[in-house]
Amino acid sequence: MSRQLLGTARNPAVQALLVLAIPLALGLVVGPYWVSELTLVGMYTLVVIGLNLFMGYAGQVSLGQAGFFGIGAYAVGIASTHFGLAPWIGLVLGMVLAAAAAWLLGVLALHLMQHYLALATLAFGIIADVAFQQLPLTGGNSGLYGIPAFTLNAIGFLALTWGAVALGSWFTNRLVRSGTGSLLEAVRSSEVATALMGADPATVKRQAFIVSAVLAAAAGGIYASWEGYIDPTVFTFALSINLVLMAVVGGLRSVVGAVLGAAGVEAINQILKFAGASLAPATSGALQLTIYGLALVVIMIYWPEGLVTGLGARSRARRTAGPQLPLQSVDGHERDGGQVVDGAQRS
Amino acid sequence: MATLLQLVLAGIGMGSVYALVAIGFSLIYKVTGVINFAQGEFAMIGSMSFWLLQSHGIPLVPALVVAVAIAAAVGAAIGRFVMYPAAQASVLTLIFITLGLDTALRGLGTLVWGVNPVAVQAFSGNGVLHVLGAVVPTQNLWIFGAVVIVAALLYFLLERTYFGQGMTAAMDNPTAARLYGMNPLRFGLYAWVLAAAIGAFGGVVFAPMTMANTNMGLELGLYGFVGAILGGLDSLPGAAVGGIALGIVTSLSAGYISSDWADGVAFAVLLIMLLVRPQGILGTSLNRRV
Repeated sequence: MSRQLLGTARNPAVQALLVLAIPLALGLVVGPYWVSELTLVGMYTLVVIGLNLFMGYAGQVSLGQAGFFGIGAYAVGIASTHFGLAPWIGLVLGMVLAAAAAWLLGVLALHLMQHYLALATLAFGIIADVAFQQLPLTGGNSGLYGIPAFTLNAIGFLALTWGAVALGSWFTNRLVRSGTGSLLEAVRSSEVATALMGADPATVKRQAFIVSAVLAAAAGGIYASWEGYIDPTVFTFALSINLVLMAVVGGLRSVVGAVLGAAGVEAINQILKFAGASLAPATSGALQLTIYGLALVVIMIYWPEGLVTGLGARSRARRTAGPQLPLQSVDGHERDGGQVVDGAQRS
Repeated sequence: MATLLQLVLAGIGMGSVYALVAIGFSLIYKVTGVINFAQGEFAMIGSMSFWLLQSHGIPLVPALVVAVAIAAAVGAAIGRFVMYPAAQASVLTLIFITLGLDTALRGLGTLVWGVNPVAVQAFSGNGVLHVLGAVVPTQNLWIFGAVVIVAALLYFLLERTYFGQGMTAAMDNPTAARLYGMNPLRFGLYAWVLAAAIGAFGGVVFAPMTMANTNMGLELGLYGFVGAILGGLDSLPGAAVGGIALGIVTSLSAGYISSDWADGVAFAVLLIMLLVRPQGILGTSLNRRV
């Protein structure tokens, strides 16, 4: 019975509906402050779902996701303020531009091994941030004002954001269950072995990278229109790190993890803002950095698969009888303990 | 011509700081395989400790030694309390851990030292030297001297002492070193202490060149990083060369293109290097650590 329920809950379409329905229902009950918080969490979740695909399934690190988020935001901002185009057009343009940038960066850099690739994406993020500050079109350090909204009210934005999250999660869920998903997992286990099987690891990685870039750009575009104002201080290396933190806190291979990771980090943010009201703003900012950093270190040491994925695997392993296999395998990739034990029992 | 010389000399000064950060970076990478994103924070800790001691009237040399020792202690704590439990972690996980360390150290630094930039006195006054028409602050000589001293000490330590031979062995072939009864974790700990001390030394000599602040670590770390990649991640002399080369490139691009784009140029150089020669100028192996 519970197994059947679990199976239904894992259906991509059901997950997508829940992802849309729950925040929307919450949004109709709570006040405007929480509606705006929920919308923001939705935008982060959208980026994190993309990171999930690239980091969780393909096993790569992107430290430049803020760059794609910024491309989406500036596309909406520039298209609407400079050329008088509707924000929808800017949103689509931003996603196309981000896809093109990711494709190019992918062609150039995705043959690199893990940490070199991490550096290449970091370089991309910083170059993008410098470009946002310096290009004439982006309004420099003062940013762009008066970006028109999608003729939506607050609840409308909430629905749009979480609708995009639902679509994104449905799409990536379908993707990881397809042949591409298996290839991604193969790449994560061993690029050399994947290449020996005749598949090109760089191609698979590039596909995942492009999807993650498009999702980040979509989130950025919605952000620009929702906020109505953007400047380069938003799209920094620090944002890239925050996004990575959200992805790994929740867990790298689950939609629930993405939502909880984004919500959890934003919750810490808000709690510190309230708690820090009595402190100087600089102190509260420093406290936030310290807590984020320490949380990342502790979670990565003890639950390298993230809280949701890690704890889930542990409880599944506990439910199944038989010898407890260590969750951590020799190469450092944590395996799903439950499945390993299941397999051992069947044989 | 004088401008060119001026820019190159300024670049060498700045590049020497990057070189010190980069050397620490390569050291940790060679011994433990960890990319340490927190390397720049050691320079921050060095700078800010030095400023605090100096502002309490403590003379140059003791202040320098204590500042470096504080950073080394932080390095030891990380090596022992973070890297021991994370010894089995994957490359991906280790990247996240050091990113978290960077963030946490920046936050802690701000809690301890506050957010305001502080002025640190130069070692030998604010004098300048005139070299063929170019103007060089005397502090630049101290910075360059620091690189030479660190390089010489490191060479002596690694090549001429029993301890250094063990460390070199652990770097060259960790498995064989373990079979000979060496503990790679312990050498990893020493690498963290050394890298922290070298980074902090770089931070101390650099501090008078600018207003020191608790946010300086991130930028220094990223530049040190680029320097280390340019020179070759697995080569200590490469890290020094790469850091100085990066300093010259950023100084020239700031002078001839625009200082606004200097960050962009530095990271564009990194991107090009990764594409053309990912093993760096002096590096040898790229995919050894599969």
